[in-house]
Amino acid sequence: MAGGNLSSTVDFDMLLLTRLTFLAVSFLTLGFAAVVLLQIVMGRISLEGLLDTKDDRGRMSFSPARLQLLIFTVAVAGRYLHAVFVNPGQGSLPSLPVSVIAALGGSHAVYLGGKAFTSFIQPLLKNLE
Amino acid sequence: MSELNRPSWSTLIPLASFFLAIAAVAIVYFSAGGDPLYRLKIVVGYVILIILFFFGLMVLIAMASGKIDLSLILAEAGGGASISRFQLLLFTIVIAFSLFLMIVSSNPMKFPDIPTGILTLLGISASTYAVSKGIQASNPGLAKKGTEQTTTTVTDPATGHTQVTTTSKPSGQAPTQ
Repeated sequence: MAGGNLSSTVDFDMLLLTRLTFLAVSFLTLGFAAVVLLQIVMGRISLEGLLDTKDDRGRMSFSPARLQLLIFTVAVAGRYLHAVFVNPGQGSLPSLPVSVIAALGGSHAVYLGGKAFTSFIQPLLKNLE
Repeated sequence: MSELNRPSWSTLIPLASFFLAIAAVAIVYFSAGGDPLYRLKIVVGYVILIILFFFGLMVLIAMASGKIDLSLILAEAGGGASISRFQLLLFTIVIAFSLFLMIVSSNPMKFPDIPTGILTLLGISASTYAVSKGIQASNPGLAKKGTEQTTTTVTDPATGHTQVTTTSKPSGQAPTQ
């Protein structure tokens, strides 16, 4: 009996410490995300120009490459969070399909290609004119 | 109490964490069961938890109050928001939160396996950020029209104290403070 009481006390102590650790880390992790999100909403972290790019004449213009990268990013992040919430007790993080990774790589290639074209190719073409 | 003597949160929080840690040691010492080694383990666990939590809380409060400036966390050189930084930030937060959620949901608690695909995802995102930064650095003219920053350094000859002031202005306008 005494041994049983001691064992339950030991389990309770460890369980309480584990629960408090979970609460503390949850608070800090969610707090950081909330601070960043709140500052974005309030405008302290500016998203101005997120979808803009500079053309060869120095004018700002809308960039479809950036828009597709943004949509893809938000879609993948949302889908991944959903997969984790649905089954959080699985032994490993949910894996991403190879097609998603390939599409993400392609999306990035388009974005970087556009950036490199604006940066290096367009000035070269302009000089040749 | 004058403004100068009023303790700030950056002083109160470490003090609070210290006293809480002492209280936790006392409570656990007198109430926890088990052998001394087990009680020592619990005490060390609580002390580490309290210290790390309050340290994290100080950083969080500094971020929220603006003492740690996050306004340029998504900014590109020359102004404007960077899509690659935004993506890296979003993926980092999502994966960190997912990892934490899975650790506490598993029974017994253990670190989950990280699939190669996730490492590839983060690698692609980080590489894009690095390459994007490299392209911008090699072509300063690519810098977007947006906020320009001017840094002014003023040294007081009497005290030798140096003050650095950063002003921001939209391109083409006079700086405002």
